[in-house]
Amino acid sequence: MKTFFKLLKKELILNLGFGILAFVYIIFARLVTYIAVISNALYRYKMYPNDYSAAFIPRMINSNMSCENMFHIIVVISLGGLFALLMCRYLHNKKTVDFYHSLPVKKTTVFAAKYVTGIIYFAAAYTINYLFMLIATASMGYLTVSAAKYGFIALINGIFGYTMIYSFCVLAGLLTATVITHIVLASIFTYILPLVIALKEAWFGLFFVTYMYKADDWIANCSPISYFFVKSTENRGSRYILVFIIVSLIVSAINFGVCKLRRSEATETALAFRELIAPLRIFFSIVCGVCGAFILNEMFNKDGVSVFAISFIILTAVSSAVIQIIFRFDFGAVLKGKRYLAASVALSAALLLISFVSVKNYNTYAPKAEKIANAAVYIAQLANDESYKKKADYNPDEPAYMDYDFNFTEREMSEGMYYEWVGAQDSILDNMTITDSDLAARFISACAGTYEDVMFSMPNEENNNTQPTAEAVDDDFLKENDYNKNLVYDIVLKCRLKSGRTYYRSYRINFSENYDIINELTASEEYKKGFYNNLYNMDCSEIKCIGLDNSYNYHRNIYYNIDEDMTERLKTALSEDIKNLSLDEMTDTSPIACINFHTAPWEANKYINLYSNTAVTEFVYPTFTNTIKVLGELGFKTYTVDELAEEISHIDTSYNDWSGETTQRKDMTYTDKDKIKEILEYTTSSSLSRTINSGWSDPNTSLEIRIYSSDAYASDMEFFTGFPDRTKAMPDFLKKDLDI
Amino acid sequence: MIKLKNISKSFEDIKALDNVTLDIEEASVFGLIGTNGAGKSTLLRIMSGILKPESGCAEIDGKNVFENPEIKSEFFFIPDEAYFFKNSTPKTIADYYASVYKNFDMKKFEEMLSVFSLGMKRKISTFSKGMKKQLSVILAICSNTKYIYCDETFDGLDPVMRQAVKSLFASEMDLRGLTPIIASHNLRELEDICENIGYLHKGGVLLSRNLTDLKLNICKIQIVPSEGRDVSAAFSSFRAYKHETRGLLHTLTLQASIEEVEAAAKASSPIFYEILPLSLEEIFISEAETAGYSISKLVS
Repeated sequence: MKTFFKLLKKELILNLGFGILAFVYIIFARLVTYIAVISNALYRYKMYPNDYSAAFIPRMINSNMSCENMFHIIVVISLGGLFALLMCRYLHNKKTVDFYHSLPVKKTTVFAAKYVTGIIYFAAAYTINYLFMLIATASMGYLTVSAAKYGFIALINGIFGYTMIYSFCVLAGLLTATVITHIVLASIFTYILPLVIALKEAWFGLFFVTYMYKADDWIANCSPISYFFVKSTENRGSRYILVFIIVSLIVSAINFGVCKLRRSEATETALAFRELIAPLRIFFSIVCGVCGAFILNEMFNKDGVSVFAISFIILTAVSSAVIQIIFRFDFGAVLKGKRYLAASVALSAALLLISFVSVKNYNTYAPKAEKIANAAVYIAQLANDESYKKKADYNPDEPAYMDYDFNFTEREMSEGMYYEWVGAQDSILDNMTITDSDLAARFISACAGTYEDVMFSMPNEENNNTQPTAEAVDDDFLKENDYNKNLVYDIVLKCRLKSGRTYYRSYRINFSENYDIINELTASEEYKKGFYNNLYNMDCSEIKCIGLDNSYNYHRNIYYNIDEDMTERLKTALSEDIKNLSLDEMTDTSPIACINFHTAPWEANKYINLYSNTAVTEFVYPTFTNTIKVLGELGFKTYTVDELAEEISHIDTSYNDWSGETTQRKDMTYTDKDKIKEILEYTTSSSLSRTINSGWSDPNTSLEIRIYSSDAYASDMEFFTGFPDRTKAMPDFLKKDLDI
Repeated sequence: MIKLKNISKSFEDIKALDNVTLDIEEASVFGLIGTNGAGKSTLLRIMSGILKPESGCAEIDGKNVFENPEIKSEFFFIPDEAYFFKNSTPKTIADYYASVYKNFDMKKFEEMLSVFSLGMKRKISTFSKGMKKQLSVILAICSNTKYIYCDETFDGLDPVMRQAVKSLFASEMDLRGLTPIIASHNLRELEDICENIGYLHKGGVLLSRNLTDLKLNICKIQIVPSEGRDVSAAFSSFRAYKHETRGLLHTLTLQASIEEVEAAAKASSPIFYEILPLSLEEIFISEAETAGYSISKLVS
């Protein structure tokens, strides 16, 4: 023990330079940025008092002192890897190994001294930084117990999070014997490595062309350790500290064990343990084979099992040889280790064979109805993208601020604080259960059956397809007929079989050709229940206000404070109206408004963006008579186009034509109510349209329509933007005025 | 006493040491000589506890060296390329060694540095190769260990410095019974200082003997036989390492004592004969050639 402390003291002195550099880095990344952000916030608070509440500065301080500060994550992850590299390098050089291992000290003692040095430097630097941040906050006059608490939690989270990442990177250093392989292995252990992502995507692209993970799982599967650490910083960082400690201890114990087993002669080779060479080589060669096959597939735009199989096997073999060279830095080694090469190819072939059944029929797989337990379908073009769930650390008295943009007001910055956006895909797939297995089977069959046709509808010589498709050409430029004919829907399917297996597929199907089955599916009660799960699961007691956004397409944001009873009535009315909502209405009709259910009253809007309090968002269609009736009790009015036109003071249009040598521009202003009415009938708001009826057919020209409203509900913006509706004909006067 | 028992060590496909057994007495200089790739450095590293042998063990005073700090404090290893901390000075290194070698004599270290004109606070990175070797030797001596393992230490030292180091070793041997174990190709230098030698060849021990005894058993003679006399026949009872002929002059290296060779020479009534002193190098070459390591084959 005495020797350990002696060595530790020596190591701390010898590596002081690195410690100081790390300290400077932390100071700049945390303290300096913290002071800059808070100073800016103080400045804005002074300059624009109406835009900020009294709680603004304390909240900013709490947030930036806490783990929510993104530099906290950057510092911890980067220094964890860097210090591990520094502390392990003595094991990768023959001279240093000879020096340290000939000393009258156990090699684990030497290792321990260096290991602990790496932890002490970070802990000391981060603690000093924390103290400086407290001093800085006190000098600004805003030091509170709360700020100190969140800063302290960040300190503890940082130290143990760092130790966890550091210990994994040190393990990588122990298993390898050169700096390069150390970095590679450390990256694999800890960071989101492009290779892992490429492996995932290549694997999916090769064998699971229509496979898709749930969105949240993607990052977790790429890099569990760093994802875990990032996740831990939510809720201000107090969660998972115990996990960090336990994991750090376990991995540290493993490190000491590996250190003991590690041979001293393992220097300047790729790996420290020869036993790892074969499995790693096989693993990497398969990875490279998959990635390479994926890349080849992308380059040549070919499909078919045979191409994948051949390219995969060839690339696996080539990769295996290349890896042999890299591992041994010996070009002559290409011909050595033939058994590993054979093993790589054999294993790849075996994997291919195992997957062959799936690969062969993967894209067109469609289970029979009797095999299906239930299914969920997400149709991207019809989805309600505005779905949210309350954050786990939701605290109405202490909202979180995470902002480094110096120009936003408090109101603008607060978006997303209380609720976090949930991908509609995940929400729908998790909550939809279509037990009508016959319907599910027919829908799946339709998707699987059209897969090849849609995928290969790109114009090319082979299929003589000269028509532009929705994929080939920007949707905005398709004329109505072309659009309807070529519109494809993106589908993600989740199917649970009676065998217990759940699988995912994604498809692209032609809307017109599959209209009947899409219509049948979207009309089913089970589908709607899943599609509108956010609405059905909404807790009415939390709702304090509703906002009707983009009312009548023109950004009329109207707010009403409501109580629980009114919320229940609205929820019931919407549920009833939804039952009769048809596919045609969803695709061909623009909604009247987008209704947001907020958990804070409208007055909170002064300082806090109400979008950050949105629990549920739904569209209200013209046929939602029940909903419109209830909204009418609140004072919401339905407008005819004539009434709307009365509210508009003028409309500006700008037409640009760059088909000639120079860009031609024509500006017009309309105040005549009849003309305003015609333009209103011609335009739509794309943000509310499910099928994106808005669009302009000519890629060489553009038409901007700016609508100036003078009514009481006009937003702060000077004008609203109107988008030409591709299903409607342009008014003649407009064509004439703009020389179209 | 250092005992090496049946030590074998391989590095992947290369057998570096094959069943090496050696005993190294205390208070005498042991020379570890051998051909290129014989395994000298590997053996020293095993003796230093850096490498673990696949079989056999290295013991000092009956205790295994590997991962045994108590026993490792008995020796100091000077590798062929010593490591010094970046931006360090002799003082820094000495402090480090002082923390692990209980008996490190800092005062002696400072004195020896000034004797060798090495600055205590000068950056080691500015030292020449020879100066670094000097520093290594000084550190080893000041650590006051029982044994010092030197791997090619004399290479890089100028002749004056070599002599100085040899004197240092001799003085320490007298004072406290230091046992230097020196691995080197520089046989001329070893000849002056070594008392015992171990001769490694292709991972095995060719011989391990007292140098004086070794010299006693090999003899070199130049002889001009009388007319009609066959030189080979005159010395046929001895093992001949080498027999060169230049005109009438024969030079033979024989495994025999001087007395035996002289008696045989006289018996053949030569015109002329002379017993020549053998250098360690000549002994080494002879033994190597016997083992199949032929210089002539390398250059032909």
